[in-house]
Amino acid sequence: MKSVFYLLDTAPYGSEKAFGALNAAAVSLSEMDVTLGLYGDGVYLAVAGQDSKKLGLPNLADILFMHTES
Amino acid sequence: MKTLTIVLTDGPYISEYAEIAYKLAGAALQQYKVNIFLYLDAVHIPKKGQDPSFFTNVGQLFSGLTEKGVVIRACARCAGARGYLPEEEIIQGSNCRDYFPGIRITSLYELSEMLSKSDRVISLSR
Repeated sequence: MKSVFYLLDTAPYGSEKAFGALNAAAVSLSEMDVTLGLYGDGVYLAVAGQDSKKLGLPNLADILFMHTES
Repeated sequence: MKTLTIVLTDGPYISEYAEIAYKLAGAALQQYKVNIFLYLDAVHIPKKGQDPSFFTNVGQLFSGLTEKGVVIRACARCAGARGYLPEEEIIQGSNCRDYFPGIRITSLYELSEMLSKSDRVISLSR
């Protein structure tokens, strides 16, 4: 495969799915063209100003923007 | 020979995906080199000692696949989070004492490597 498409349709913190999709997309960057599709509740991943400190989880939007095309 | 990679994210009995993957992999073996990557809850699939009274024992099915030459790998972070810990020593092809022989815990980078080296990818996930 030359490229890979990950589709995320769940909100960022309610389950491990967003974290999982984000990590999988991030590791794939070194070998393939990567597209992460945000669909349905998945769009919340891109919302600015997230504060996940009290959840004890990393700020997933920060991870997302760390890897986006500039 | 072409390569097929199947990616799973569901646990063994919550959906039919593990069984479907088993059937797909078994059939594909005639034409493909087959990899299976276990991600998120799918790391539960190769646990030894499952006893699902009313269902097919999926762990045993996957154990059979490794014997036929299917490469099965599990994500280290997901496995660790669920108490499956990799050890340095590899016994019967596995680095996890809770897993069936031949099934190993590796890093997520193995997923990326499997995908990039595959001609076909099937993701069974929801």
